[in-house]
Amino acid sequence: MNEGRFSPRFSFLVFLSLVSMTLLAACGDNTATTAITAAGSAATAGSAATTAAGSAATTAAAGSATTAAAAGNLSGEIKVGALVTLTGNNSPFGIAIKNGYDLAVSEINESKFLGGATIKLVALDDKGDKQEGISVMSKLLDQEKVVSVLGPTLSSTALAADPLAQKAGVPVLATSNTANGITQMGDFIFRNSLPEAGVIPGTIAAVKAKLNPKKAAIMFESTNEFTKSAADVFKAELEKNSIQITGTEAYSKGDADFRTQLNKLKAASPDILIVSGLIGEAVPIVQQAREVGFTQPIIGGNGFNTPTIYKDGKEAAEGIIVGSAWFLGSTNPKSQAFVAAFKKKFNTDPDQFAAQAYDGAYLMATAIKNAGAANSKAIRDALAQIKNYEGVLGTFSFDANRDPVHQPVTVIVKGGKFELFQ
Amino acid sequence: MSTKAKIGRYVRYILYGILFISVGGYGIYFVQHPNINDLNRFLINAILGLSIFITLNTGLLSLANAGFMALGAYTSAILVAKMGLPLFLSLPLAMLLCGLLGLLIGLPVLRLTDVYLAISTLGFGEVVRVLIVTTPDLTGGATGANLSTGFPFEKMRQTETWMLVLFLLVLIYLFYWLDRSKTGRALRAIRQNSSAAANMGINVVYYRNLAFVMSAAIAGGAGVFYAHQVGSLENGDFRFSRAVDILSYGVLGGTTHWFGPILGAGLLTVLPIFLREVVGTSLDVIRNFAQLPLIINGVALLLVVIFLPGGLFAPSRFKRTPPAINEAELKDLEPPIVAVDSNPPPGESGEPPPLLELREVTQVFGGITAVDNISFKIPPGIICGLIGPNGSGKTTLINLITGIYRPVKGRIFLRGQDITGQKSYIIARMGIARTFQNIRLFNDMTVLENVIVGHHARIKTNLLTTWLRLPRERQEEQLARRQALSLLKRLGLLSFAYQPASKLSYGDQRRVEIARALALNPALLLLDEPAAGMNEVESALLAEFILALKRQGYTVLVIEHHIDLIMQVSNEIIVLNFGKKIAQDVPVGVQQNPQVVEAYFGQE
Repeated sequence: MNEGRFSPRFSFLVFLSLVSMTLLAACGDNTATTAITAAGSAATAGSAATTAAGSAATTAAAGSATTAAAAGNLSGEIKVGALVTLTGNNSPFGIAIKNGYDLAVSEINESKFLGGATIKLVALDDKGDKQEGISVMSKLLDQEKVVSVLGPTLSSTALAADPLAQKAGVPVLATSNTANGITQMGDFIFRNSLPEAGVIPGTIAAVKAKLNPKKAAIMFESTNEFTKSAADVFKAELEKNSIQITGTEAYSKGDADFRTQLNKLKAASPDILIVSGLIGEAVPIVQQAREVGFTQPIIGGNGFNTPTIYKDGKEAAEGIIVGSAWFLGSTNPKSQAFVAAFKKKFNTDPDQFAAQAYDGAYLMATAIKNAGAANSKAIRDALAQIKNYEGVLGTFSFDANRDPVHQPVTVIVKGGKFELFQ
Repeated sequence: MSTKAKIGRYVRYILYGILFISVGGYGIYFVQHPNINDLNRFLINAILGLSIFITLNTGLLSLANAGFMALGAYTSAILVAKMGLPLFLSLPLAMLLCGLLGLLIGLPVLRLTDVYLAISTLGFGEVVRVLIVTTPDLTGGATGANLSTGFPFEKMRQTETWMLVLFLLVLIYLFYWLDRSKTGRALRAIRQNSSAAANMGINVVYYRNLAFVMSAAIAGGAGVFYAHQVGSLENGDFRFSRAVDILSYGVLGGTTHWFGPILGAGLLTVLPIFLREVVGTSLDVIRNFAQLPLIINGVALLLVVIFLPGGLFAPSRFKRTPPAINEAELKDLEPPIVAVDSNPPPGESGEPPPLLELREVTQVFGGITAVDNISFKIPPGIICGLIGPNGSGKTTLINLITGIYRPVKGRIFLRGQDITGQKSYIIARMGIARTFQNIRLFNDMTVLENVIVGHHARIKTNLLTTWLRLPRERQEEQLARRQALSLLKRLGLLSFAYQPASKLSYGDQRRVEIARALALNPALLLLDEPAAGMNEVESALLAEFILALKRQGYTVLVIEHHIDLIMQVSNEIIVLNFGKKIAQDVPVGVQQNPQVVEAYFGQE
């Protein structure tokens, strides 16, 4: 075995190369940081002066007559970055999202949406990891010098990486982040993905309008912050619509038998059952509810918003009502065109994430067009001005906090697929 | 050289090649496009690698590091972002908390070894995550620690490269000297054979806990830097895959030298970045093939586990040219032999008590009485043989005397002092040394180091003297070394001093094991079948060796099947059969005892 070992001299060389790398980097660190800080402070200092002028300009540019002229000033290749999760557990989301971006960008470039200019999408894999997210975000900012960024796929990555873009004054448009605190990170951070709290009011309003329930029962997973807070939003909305809550039952992730809770809730004979849970428990809950004789309509939270609910739930899933930012069968012509194009290009149906990504890329292109310049600050201001954009998600606007405003849809499972609830 | 070793050699060449290309290639790229985040990530991973190294080097397969990392990260995040403490204060506090918790968990959990330890420590990691989720007011719960839960990133993101470099350098300093100290030797001895280490007077439980606590504190420190690098935390950052990543730095890089895990962290961190940056931009295939780094890491890990069990960086601990031994300075350094005690304390009857006394000792294993009501006395200065058919309870008896088992009934006295049920390492320090039926030398050590392990309890240094480089440290170590050499000289083993213990012949290993036991300076030496597997010549040499021990004043209890040897060396012989003592007599008396003849020698 000893012959196989390297001499101490060799080991020392390896060590030396690592040390020298460390030292080099330590020197590089200061310059890099100062560069970002300088750029950041310049942007902030300039912002006060230019905001008024910028917003005036963009308001004017938003008018259809001047739009073409503004786009006409653009030329060459405009680099837009994207952080997508292509490896790891969450890669199915990231791949759908990247497909959405790719489809939109190729359409934008083919249709000369930006006049003489084209968008070059620099999509990097953040691996769903914060440290990797920070690294590739700074690569997009420092090396690729992108004018704006789409993504990242996960909220956790966004919370780690977006502050870099905020500091550098580069706008970020998230198309799948629904966690709290995303847009609070700063005035350069936008999103077009509705958090669950934004979907639920529409769902309850639709249910109230069509079914007019008087009493409701709630079942929720208490071991998950998202299902828990969604349950709270459901409660608030029920109260707002003066629907009486006859019972609330909690369960834990991984539970398999829900009959006790369901029987208890059934005893108060509510008109509807609301379930705020993840898909793993959603299917058995729905099946057992039907088993114990719950015939009333079931309203699901965001966890139910997947074909798995009717594929695995079979007959028990029939009649389940779910709120969603978007759905495949939407009659919106923009949405229908998107579905057809997506199917043609990727040979599969798009999901909600692809739809939001596709719309997000168009929103970014629209902002670039309205800004009339490949300038991050101008693009940010133009993004903030977007009102009543007609896209796949419907009529879309950003609110004052750069969060999305659009009408979510309410769907119902009928004949083994989602249909618009109307 | 076996085929496996040959393949291992090529695996090492290839992996070093890959490492060199990635580190070199990325280094060149880095100079042009510095991305400090990648470097910080490597440094944090290197610190995590050192945290797993200290447990692996002690033979503990712990997966708790991700949990301690989470604990350190969240503690510091809360201290800095919510309570306004500066980072440099939160670091020691978080490490201290992790260390304390490590002690609390280590005390029960470190009774387990191998896969059981791995599973229970993994459980700890999950418990930490559940704790984080269930305390949203403190940690931000499932939402995570970010600005929406009171952790603004301006306050969070404070990790600088120089801090990481400094922290790593301090750790390297500590590990460098630890490896050369009494503590480091004890940790290695425990890894190689924990029961032999205990019988050399090493408090195995203490050292396992020490290693676990150090590992916990270092992982906590890495967590602190992680928290302030990424600026926001979720419990998902510290799930099972993190624990596996940390483990693979050690397994891939090496578990016997502190540089190994740094190398492992380097390879596993830099390679994916290298592929992303240097190769990825020129080859679209690789860029699109996002799983490639994972596959390369997996294959590398597999190859290393199979062909390079010590890891990628496993330098030989043995010097090619051993230092010259100055025989003159070894004179007058022989440790005093306590066996020939001119003034033994008087016993109950006023007479000097026997060196060893067993009173009605009984041991039962699941209904089988292995040792049945045995009583005997051994006076100092004799060689006592212990014979009996296989399964008659001889080794069990030795295990009872050395504290491996606690007798269900009866008492054991050493020089009139009750040692029944004492821990092995205490009995060893009180003066009972042993060898094993199957040789249990520390194979990764030289003969000399093996013997120095026997000096463990007598070397009065500690971590403080080690790390502060106090003069005492050097003096004690040198004294131990000279005494060990002197012992080897006395036993005629001096020429082997700097040879790896595993490289010696079988007979020589037996003698070294005896030498190691003698380094404890024992009152009583227990030899468990020292001549097993020896031929006539070797066995005769051993008999001479044992007789020489007796002349030097040692008291010896020897189990042996070579009846000639027993008859030749023993002053007295005890015979066991089915756990019962059937005779205790001088050799001639035993030979003529009809019961013994029937049970052991066989009727003619």
